[in-house]
Amino acid sequence: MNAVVDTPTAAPRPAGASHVHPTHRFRWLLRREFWEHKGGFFWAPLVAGGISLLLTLIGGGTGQVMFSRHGAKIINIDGQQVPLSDMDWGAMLSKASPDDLRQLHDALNWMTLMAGTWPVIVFGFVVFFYFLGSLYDERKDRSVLFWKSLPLSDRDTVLSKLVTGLVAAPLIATALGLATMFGFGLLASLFMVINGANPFTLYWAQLDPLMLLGATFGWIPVYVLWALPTAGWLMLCSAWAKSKPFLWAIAIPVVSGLLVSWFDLMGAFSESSAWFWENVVVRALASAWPGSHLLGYVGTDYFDRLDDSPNALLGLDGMLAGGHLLATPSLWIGAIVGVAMILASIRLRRWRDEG
Amino acid sequence: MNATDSLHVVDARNLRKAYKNKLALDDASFRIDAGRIVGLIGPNGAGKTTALKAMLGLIPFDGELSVLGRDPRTQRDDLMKDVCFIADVAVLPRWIRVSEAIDFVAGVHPRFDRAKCERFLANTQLKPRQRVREMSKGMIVQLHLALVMAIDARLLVLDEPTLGLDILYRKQFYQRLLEDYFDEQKTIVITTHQVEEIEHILTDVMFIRDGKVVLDAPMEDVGERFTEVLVNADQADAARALGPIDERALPFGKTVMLFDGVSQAALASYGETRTPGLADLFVATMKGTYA
Repeated sequence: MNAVVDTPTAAPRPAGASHVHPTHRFRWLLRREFWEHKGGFFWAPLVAGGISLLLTLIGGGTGQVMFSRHGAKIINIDGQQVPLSDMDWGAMLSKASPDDLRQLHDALNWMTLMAGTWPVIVFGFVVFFYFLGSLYDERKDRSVLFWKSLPLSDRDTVLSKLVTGLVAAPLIATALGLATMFGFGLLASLFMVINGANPFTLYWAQLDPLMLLGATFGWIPVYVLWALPTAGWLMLCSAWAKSKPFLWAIAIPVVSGLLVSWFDLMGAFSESSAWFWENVVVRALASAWPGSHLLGYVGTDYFDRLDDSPNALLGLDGMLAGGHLLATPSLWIGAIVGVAMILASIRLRRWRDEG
Repeated sequence: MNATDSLHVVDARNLRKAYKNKLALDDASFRIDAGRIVGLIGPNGAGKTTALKAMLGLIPFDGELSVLGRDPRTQRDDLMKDVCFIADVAVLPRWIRVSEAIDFVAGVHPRFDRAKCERFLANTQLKPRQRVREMSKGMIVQLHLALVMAIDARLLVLDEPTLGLDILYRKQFYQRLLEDYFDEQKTIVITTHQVEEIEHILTDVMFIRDGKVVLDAPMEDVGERFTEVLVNADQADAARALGPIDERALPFGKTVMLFDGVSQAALASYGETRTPGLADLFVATMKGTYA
């Protein structure tokens, strides 16, 4: 993809010209997107992660204070009232049944994983508006004419925006999510130490790094495919709208959805409105939301095959990684429609007259 | 050297472009040779910008157009390695920093000379960390010009490059362009309304009106072809018989008449003669445009 390199001998040169050097256009296009959207793709998820940690700290601190104020440093273990300060956490761990240990292990891993979701949730908002402005903002401030004065094709430019939104930005957000999880681990350790537990045995040794990494990054491959229709639709609106791309992007699918529902009520079509909302309106507007591919499981036989272990969620064929979706036409039809809209956006950017 | 060097830099034949209810280009034909500085001059809505956009492959149009031997409609990506343009003031993205702009252009343009660009910027007040949104209009143009002049392009197109700038920046802009950029390998096409300011740097002038090229001549020819005569009231009818293309009355009964293709010697007997400025020529040629 980034193989667009001009070697010094590639082009005929006028005499007197002194300077030709190789270029790596696609890499620079990606870097440019990051410069412009650093606030949305880096700082916003970072701040979200930071705030979630702060809230964890405040919440934990409040709990700790309440605990000590009521002098009730007592927890209930198997019907026995044990003062917290007298708890021997190590002994408890060694005495625990394998089933309890597994539950503790799962609970700690899930809590850790959940701690990392805030940056990704923020990314979900940012990426929607990123695509919506991707080809509109440059037309609005006319900087598109500057970019077009450089040897950059419309295809590469549009693709760089697509790769930024669907690959680079989710990777950044999940990396920040991972950092937040680590911060959560440190906070958890802090409270464990305060309450006399050894965080290494009680917390860190319980973590399953492969599972956590898999769950953190595993959704991205299927996300790239699943999000294509929304990315394509928003970019198309962005490239096409003379003004207010947000209104167009929302209004066209929603109004058509309402029309279909209305015809449905009138009995003109039979039961097509639910299908339309689910497969057109939602796919056009919400597919870039991280985790929205879970909607793709609705109506498939996948749920029947689920067992109740966490692997059902986390495995390669699990819900998070979405492997099962690769076998559904909905994913591929959406992806193809998305690609078609992206091609249309490239064409629009190429020929749109900015007056 | 490839085959295009012996040909024209721009060769346009019968360009047509219609907007909703108006012909912006109406069978316009023109040629531009290498090593020229061409002023494309016309009233608002005459089709100047449309002609430039066609040359830069920004819009679809009808007719034949070759720029550096390539068709800008189908070979734009390739063409842009040799062509650069400044479309209007303030088209630089507002979020970009000076250092980022330099890094980016250096990264994507094989003919960008970073050292040259930094040399241009050393004489300005621009700081590497400064963003475009923190700059005045004049500073934005300084940055844009530094970026563009450090690109060794064969054709540079400037569409109203100095719009909205004060006289100091305007003078500096054209000075820079002549001293630090232009050479016989390069071609520059400029449109502007400030005709007086560019007339001394042009080698060729092209007037465009209602989508047609109405005058296309080297500046030397313009000097030979057109003569302005300050005619006394008593000579006015005799002079008028020679068919001036324009006349305007001055106070105290004198009239300035503009002649096309009448020798200065023949006109000297009617009054004081001189070579008209481009602005006068422009006004005479475009009379009735807005009527």
